[in-house]
Amino acid sequence: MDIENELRAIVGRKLNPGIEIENSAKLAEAGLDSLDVVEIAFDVEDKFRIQLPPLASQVGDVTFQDLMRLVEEQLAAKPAGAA
Amino acid sequence: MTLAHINKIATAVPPYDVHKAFIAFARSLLDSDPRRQTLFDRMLDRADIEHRYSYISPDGVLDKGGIAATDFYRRGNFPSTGARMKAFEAQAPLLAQAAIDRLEIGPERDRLTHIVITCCTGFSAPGLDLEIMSRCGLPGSMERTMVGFMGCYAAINGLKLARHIVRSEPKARVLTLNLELCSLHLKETASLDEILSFLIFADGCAASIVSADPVGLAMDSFRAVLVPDTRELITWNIGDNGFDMFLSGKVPGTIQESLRGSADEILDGASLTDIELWAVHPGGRSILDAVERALSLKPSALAPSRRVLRSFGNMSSATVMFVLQQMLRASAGTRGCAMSFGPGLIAETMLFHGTG
Repeated sequence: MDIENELRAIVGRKLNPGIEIENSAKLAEAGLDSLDVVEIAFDVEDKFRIQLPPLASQVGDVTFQDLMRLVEEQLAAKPAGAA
Repeated sequence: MTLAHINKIATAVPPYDVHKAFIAFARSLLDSDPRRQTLFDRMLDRADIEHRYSYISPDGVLDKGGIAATDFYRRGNFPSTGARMKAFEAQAPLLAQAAIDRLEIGPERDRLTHIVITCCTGFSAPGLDLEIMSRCGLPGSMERTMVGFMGCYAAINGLKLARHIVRSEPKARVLTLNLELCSLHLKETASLDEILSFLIFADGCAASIVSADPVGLAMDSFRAVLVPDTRELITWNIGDNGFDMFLSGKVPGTIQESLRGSADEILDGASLTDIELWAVHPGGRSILDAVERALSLKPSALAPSRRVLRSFGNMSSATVMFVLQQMLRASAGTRGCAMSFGPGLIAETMLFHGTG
């Protein structure tokens, strides 16, 4: 699974057309409101079948790159064969 | 120094399961906003709560007493704080008596010396202490203390006080009561944050006996950990239309970070692996998840807390006692840690061990 592209697709659905988020940009500074941020967190959890740590439930405060790292960490922590 | 023990814990909840009705009510508040409704539904999926109880009857059938929802919560005319307190005065003694009856203290009743009550959802004077003493035939000589408006961690504060009483008067027998009627503070609101609180808070009561008798759980030590600069994350204030709750979305993350840094202080020289029993107040599923991550606990460690959350919701101060009740028969020497979180933001913690 290409984590970066999946995450860009999830975040991109909330951004204005044609806007892409840079790796170093915080979601809160990319024109997203607080509901967008919560919905992104839920979409990420549902897509990757992971649970984001509580700090990342405030994904607006993390950069896109941080979000990728969090997803990678959670995927790596999943037991083998887990759904 | 005398060692104080929680000898018995009994619990009670009101008769009506209101969880589904409250969800329907919350959805109706979001009727005009499909996006927020969808978000609410997704949060509902994650809440891990199946039942919550109240004296407010959702369908108006009053075969078990209480009040009809349509009488108490009239659309466009929700009750004033005064009206909610009147309902508290009517309902709280019923719930308190139900919990105390389940203690089955019998003749021990006459040996009770102190009563300590924690409550943040209702007040009156003469108050619950005197009402309970009258209803339950408790000795008029009992020393009475109300611990008011401390929020979800108040049961731990109540236990601290009971322990001090027993340590200073080894023959003391303290009745502690933790009673909350959170369902009296529902709001008609479009605020998603407020509506989300309707997902978790509920009514319940725990009654306990604390004494020097070496039965039940021995209370070893207490520690309160204040997280700096978090005063605004949990607030509970008296408004004109009930009490107003604010629970920031930052609370779980804050708890996770602060516990990681304060685990040594809380465990007072013990290691995490020394603790076999975790009685964590289930403030919500995300709070339990935060504690589990912060302390690297096995998923099974917080099963008692998750069971209480699923079956009863967050009953504020009473809830941690529901969890401790499951641990009363712990075998001798089994070590445990109880913790509850609340305004401050503060983690109130207690180390205990079994005597069974």
